[in-house]
Amino acid sequence: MVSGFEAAVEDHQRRIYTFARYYLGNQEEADDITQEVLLRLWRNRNELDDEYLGAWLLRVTRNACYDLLRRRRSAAKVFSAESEDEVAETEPARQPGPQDRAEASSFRGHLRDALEELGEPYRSVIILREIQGLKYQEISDALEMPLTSVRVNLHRGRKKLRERLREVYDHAAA
Amino acid sequence: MPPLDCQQVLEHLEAYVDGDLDETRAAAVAAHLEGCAECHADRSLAEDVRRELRALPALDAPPAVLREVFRQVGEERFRPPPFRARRPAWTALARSAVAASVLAAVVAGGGIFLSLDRATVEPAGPDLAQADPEEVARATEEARLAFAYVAKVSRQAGLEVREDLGESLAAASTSGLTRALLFLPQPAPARPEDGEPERDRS
Repeated sequence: MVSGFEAAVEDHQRRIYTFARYYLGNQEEADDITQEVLLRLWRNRNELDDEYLGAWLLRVTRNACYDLLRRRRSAAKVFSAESEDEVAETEPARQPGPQDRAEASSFRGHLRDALEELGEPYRSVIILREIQGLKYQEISDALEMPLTSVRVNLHRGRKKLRERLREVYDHAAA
Repeated sequence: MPPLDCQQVLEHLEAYVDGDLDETRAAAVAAHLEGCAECHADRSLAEDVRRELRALPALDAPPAVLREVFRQVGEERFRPPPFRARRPAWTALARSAVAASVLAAVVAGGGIFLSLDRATVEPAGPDLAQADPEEVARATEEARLAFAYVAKVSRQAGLEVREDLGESLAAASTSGLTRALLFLPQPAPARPEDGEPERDRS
């Protein structure tokens, strides 16, 4: 049983939100996912153990993000058969500010774009390891993946990012 | 270890940057990078990717999101559980109450019937022989009402109740078992002069 809900929220909200934000690349959706995950924590608090709480929360967050992404893509497919304008309506509402526009053309902007295009399980492993700094064992527990697979997927995921960035820069240079 | 070509080096570049290659393979990659400008550029890119990913900031959930979570939790905390969830407990309590009522009615009714029993089945008893006929009639009516109540609550509890319940209980009340269940004294043993031999009780 989770000892204190408020303390658990305090301890874990950053991990949940950071993961959702970088996984989805959209603030409103990350807000919704964070809220959904924390409410699930409340409703399941009597069945959860403090020891496994971090892994459980990350797994639930990741699954929720993955499901949302699938729904977003399938909705986009449905609407793309009708018109380009409607596809735009299904895309996340994102109003880029000056910082967004500056970042979009920077290395970091291209990197974030490449991360959002990355498939699973590479995206999850990279966010957990490189952005959130989790240990291999913590990632293994959260994603229910063998330790060796965590390492292999991390290297393969970063290799894909590198190859994507190389394409972007080669294309820009041409 | 034989020298590595570009494809092999690019395959291991991330592991090399992380220091996860064994010494022999790491030395082979390093040797290739010394003489290959293109792979060297990829190594720099691999290092940039790793460094930039690690520089991305962790983000706190917006306060509005947390406020909404605590608001909903507050609502759920003080919301009574749905009726369906409480139903088993209520049903168990109701069954217990009905069972208690039945038991109480049986005991009360049985006691009345036993009084009637003594007045009618054992009229030769020293006390009951002189019973007032009006008292007997009143006891009979009270017993009938008591058994009618027992039958009613028993049916409400889902039990099958025979129509001749009153008569059955009246008949059973004469047995030693019923007396024992109702914590009543056993009937006096039959006297030898009645023709029945006395049992050895030792």
